[in-house]
Amino acid sequence: MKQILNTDQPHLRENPYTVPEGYFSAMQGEVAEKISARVHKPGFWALAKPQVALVSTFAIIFLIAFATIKIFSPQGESLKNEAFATGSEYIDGHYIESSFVDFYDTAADTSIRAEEIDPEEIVEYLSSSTGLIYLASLE
Amino acid sequence: MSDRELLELYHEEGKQHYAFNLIVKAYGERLYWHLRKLVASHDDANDLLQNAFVKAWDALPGFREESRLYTWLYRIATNEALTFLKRKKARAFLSLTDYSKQLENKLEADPYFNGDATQKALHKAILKLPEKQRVVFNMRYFDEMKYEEISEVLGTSVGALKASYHHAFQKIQHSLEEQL
Repeated sequence: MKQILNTDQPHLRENPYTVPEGYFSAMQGEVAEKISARVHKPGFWALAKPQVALVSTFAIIFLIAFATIKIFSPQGESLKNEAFATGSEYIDGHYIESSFVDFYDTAADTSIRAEEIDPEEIVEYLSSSTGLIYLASLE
Repeated sequence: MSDRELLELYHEEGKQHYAFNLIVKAYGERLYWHLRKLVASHDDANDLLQNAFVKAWDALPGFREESRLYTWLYRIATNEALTFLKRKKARAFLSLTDYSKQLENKLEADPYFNGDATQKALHKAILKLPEKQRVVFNMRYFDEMKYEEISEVLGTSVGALKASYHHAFQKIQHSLEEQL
């Protein structure tokens, strides 16, 4: 049985398969047809490439514009103003604090500051000029 | 026309289609028989051959001539057949059927098979082999390709190919002993 596949048996190496008549010439035509149909249909990437390029260009322009606006926008200016405002508030506060005059500072008012009064004088004054009823009502 | 001349013609302005038709004419028949022995059915072999040529057309601009044109086409066609067989096998597994049995039945009913009983037994045995072993066996036994050439097509080492062929040969002998 080993001799069944012996290389000396050309019979077994022969091709037992056949094809319908005229198949190979028809096949060449079919392949040519498929390929020419393929030429008219560009691939996905070939179709998408210009659109992707267009979208990318717009995206780049948008980013540049956005960055420019972000850098030079009035919002940036207002931030600067805000910082300036904070500084000026500090200066103003300091100015007010240093130049403030308290008109109700009785301790410093020499015109109304009383001399040391002797308690005996107070008692005498009260007993001579004030009635008992008035003194009682003070409690 | 040699491979070099065909490729030079292909690279000439406006002659791509003409050159490719010449390539199909030069190698179509050999590739068809290679595919037919792998899948048994004429219709499947025809579909695979056309797909292989369409893929070759798409890939030809990038062909760097590191291998011979025929080897390159052989590789495309073989990969196409292996993918097809794996897909069919997976479907058969899901439907709980034996794909090699289906192939045998196709061969049995094939009106375009003119071999005698021994040839039929041999081809049935070949269809029982695992796909890659079948490819190696066919390339070596029928196409009489050198192991180095098969290695170039399949990207497998010569040693592994020799072992694969040896296993395939043993299995076929065993199968023939059972059948005849």
